[in-house]
Amino acid sequence: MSKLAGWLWFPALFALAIGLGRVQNQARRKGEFDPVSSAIQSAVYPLSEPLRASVQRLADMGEAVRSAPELRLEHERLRQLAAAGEQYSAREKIWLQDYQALRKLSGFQAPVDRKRIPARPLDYFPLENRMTLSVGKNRGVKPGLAVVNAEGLIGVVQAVSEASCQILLLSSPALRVGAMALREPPLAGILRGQGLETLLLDYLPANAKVESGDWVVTSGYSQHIPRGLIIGRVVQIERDPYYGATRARIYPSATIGLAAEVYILL
Amino acid sequence: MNRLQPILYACLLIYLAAVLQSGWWNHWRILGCRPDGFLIVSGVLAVRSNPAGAGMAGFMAGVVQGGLAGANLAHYGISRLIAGSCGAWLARLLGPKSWGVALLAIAGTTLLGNLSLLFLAAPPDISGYLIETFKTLAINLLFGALLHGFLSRVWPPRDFQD
Repeated sequence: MSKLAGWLWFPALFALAIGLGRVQNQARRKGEFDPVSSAIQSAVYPLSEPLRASVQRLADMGEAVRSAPELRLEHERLRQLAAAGEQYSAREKIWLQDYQALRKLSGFQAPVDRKRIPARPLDYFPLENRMTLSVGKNRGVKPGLAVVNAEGLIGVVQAVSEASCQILLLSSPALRVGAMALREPPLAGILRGQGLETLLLDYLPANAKVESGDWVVTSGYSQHIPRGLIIGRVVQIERDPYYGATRARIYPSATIGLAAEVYILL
Repeated sequence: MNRLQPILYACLLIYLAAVLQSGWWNHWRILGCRPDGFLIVSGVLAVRSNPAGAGMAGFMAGVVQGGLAGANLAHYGISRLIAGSCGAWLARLLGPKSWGVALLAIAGTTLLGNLSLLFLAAPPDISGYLIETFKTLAINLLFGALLHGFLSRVWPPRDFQD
């Protein structure tokens, strides 16, 4: 009898696990963290964050010592690029003014300049294709916003707490983002993750003239994700005449999961 | 050792695993492998507990792991519950606790934890996941042996034969 009582823990824990999963799903549908996950993160991050920063510093120091000559060359190259960029930015301002004037003449609204909130990854879960970032409601972050780094789009905010948020990375099969191949005219489809090194641009027309090497960017057919954020390049095309559809495999521009600094686009 | 001490040790180990996982192992690979601290702790506790106790510790570790990752708590809770209890059952089945039994229990816990998670929430790249599981198994054995050795000084398994 006592043996049986000992085994009764299992169905009880199974039921508890399913209950916790349901509570979590309900909270996520509202774009929030569930209380259990919030409590766990609040208990762990105060210690894990200084540890991560220390390990990062050590890793950076090792990397700097190992590749000092290359870093010097890179530094010189970047200085030259910055000087060239300054000249270009003056011309860019004039082009932007022309572009906005043309939009106004055509009756379109001027494009909204999105505010960028810098954030640090607190945690990264490759198996779950998720990352926890260091900003939350306190900086105006809300679910659905795009997260980018210098290389392009890396994910979308899914759940937000007061001082942190969790993003679903582009590599996740659960994430759907409107995207288009840069052709004339652009070919729009739906993008979803297939792992860290492959994304899939689906629902393109059967006769879509997409080719390997084409750039893929966000289509902007979304309330929160602006048009034109770089996603990656087409590496393979699959045509399915039976369903009348074409899909393209994309190699992402951003090294998903390895970003050290990111921006959330408000 | 009184009744509360093992619970206290288990909680402390799970918390330590959470800090190491979140602050270090999730961001940097070690020898090309990513350790899973929660499965290491579940395996080490499986050698020191009965299947029910190890299952509960595994469940707790799974919920903490899922909560940190923002992953489905049910999937992680159930997979680690299965891993912990089967690991303890395996350790009992193999007889008196020795280093070999401890390492087999840690390996069994890691494999069962990841394989049961595969069935509960299949990733898109199953072969990649399996390769990653074997890499994790290798590094978990190394860290598991270290933790088991250290823990045996303060909390040896009941019938441990060094």
